[in-house]
Amino acid sequence: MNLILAPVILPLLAAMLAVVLRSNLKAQRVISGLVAIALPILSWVLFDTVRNSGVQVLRVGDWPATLGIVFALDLMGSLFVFFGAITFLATWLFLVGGGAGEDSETNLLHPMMLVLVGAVNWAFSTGDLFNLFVSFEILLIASYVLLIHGNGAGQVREGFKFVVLNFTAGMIFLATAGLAYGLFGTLNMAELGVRIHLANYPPEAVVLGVLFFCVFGMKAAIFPLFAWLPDSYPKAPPGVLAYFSGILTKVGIYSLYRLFSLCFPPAFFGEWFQPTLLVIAGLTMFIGVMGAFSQYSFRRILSFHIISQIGYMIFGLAIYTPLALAFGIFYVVHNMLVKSALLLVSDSVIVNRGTDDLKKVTGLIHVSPGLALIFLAAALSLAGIPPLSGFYGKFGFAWEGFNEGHYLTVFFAVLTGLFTLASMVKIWRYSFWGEKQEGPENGPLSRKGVIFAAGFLTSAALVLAATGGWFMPIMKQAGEELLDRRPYVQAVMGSDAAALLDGPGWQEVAQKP
Amino acid sequence: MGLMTALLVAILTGGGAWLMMRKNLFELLLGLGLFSHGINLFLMSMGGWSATEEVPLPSDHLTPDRYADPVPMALILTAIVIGFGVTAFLIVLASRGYEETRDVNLGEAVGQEGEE
Repeated sequence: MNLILAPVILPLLAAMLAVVLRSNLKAQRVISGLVAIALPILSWVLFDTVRNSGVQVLRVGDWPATLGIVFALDLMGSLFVFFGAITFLATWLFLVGGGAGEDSETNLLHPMMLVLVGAVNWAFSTGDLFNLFVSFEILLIASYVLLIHGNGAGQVREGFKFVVLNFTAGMIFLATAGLAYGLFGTLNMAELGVRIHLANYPPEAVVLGVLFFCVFGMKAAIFPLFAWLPDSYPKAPPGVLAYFSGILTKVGIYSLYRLFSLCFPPAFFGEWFQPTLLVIAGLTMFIGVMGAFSQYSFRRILSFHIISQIGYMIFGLAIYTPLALAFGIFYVVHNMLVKSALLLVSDSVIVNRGTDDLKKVTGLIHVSPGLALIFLAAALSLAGIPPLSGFYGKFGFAWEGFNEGHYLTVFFAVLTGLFTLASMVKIWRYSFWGEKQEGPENGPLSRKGVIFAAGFLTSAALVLAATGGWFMPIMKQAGEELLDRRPYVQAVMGSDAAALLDGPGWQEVAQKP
Repeated sequence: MGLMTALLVAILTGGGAWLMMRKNLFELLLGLGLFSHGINLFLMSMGGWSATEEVPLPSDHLTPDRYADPVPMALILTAIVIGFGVTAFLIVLASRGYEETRDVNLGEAVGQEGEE
């Protein structure tokens, strides 16, 4: 039984059904909820299958992998699908529990969320570049609609910028995929990796790699390409924003991890590539956190933090050891949970108080202590305080960074961690502590949905931290498979093709001067 | 043929990029259209050009070595559909923004918003 396509098709079919039932909000909620509950179970089963029997592959129509469309799910992909499903479940709880306000559920909200989820899972499980392009476009079209959903004045304008920038990036992605086909005669990622390897990493491959890096870097909001994010994200409607910031940029990170291990191992680019990555990682972290530090709006602080977290993930890729990639995967997963939890809290603040200006909203701890506690746990986890999940990732990056001698970037990573803590303390000090605001409009924040959803995500992050000892070896294996490349290529194209990758393996290459 | 295509791609994407830098919403939309046409043409050229190539439809005189490469065509077809959808959405978005602000200028509209 091959379940790979289920997390893709199920939400998309449900979305169609929900569009048909657009006059019946209750039915839409039920459909969306069934998917939200089914997806974590389904993706856990998938993850378990991948863990026990290796990379799962689906050849559509049973064409040979190099001719037909291929879906392939490895450990990294299945972990992302699972934790993405958990985040969607929390978002659904938030939306249905009334966390986003009374009139927020229009008849487009649930169908578009479902399309978004389906497209995200599609991106995580596809095996070829063109499907990746299509899934990115579907994902973006759904997110365009969600971003301007609600029709605030600022939303349409910022939405416009978001659409134009992402459409342009999509076009460049398309051209790059076409270039890959023109140069190496294939769109299948595994085959592209093998062909580039056999051609012994010619200069064209470097051009291709840099183009891909720019495209996915734009999606992931890395250092010079992040300008669109902090302006457009805070305009997204409540609830939706939490899912956006938890998942969307991570799809870019996933694509970077996938392509830059499978097709363009950094060592083959020459000596300039790794230092460039390290500098980009350091700057992304530091500028992101500096941007956050200077803001006085809850959601804008958190939006800037997305950028600085992306920096850590790029750092994991830049170090390029199995352990660093493993910590990178752990960090992505941790971020999906914690970031979404924080943004759910911030969404609830803006829904209840009409503003998220830290100076205008104070004393929340007096009216909603439960939510304050959830925020505190998630915020400390984001900052990387030891027993919580954020610590593992940051500690891992520092550890591997020191082992590999990237002292300067480690310095920036630690500095960024400090500033992250400082800006979380800032939110805490202004909005949660401080004078209790009197008056009926300053009542408790908590509608059931908020506590439920944010609490669920935060406890999922705590469980992740507690079971880190169980997850970490799996993620290490995922990192090793990424660097080794052969398990993935073998699953997609057979062992003959995988044998072509023998020769200089990653170990020797990584040690190449 | 190759040079012609290269020049056309350059003119289309260059012109498109130039138009996209402008603040006027209408010009921006035109720019996006030009840009995506340029990209589609570029994809077409990735299949390779030759005068002997024919449309890959089954017929008696056509042998596989004379087929034009169908993959880039499939890519372009999908890209055109997606581009069409996004452009339609953007036009609605632009007219919506115009109704709100009575201003075709994206920069001005953002200027009012850029208080944060």
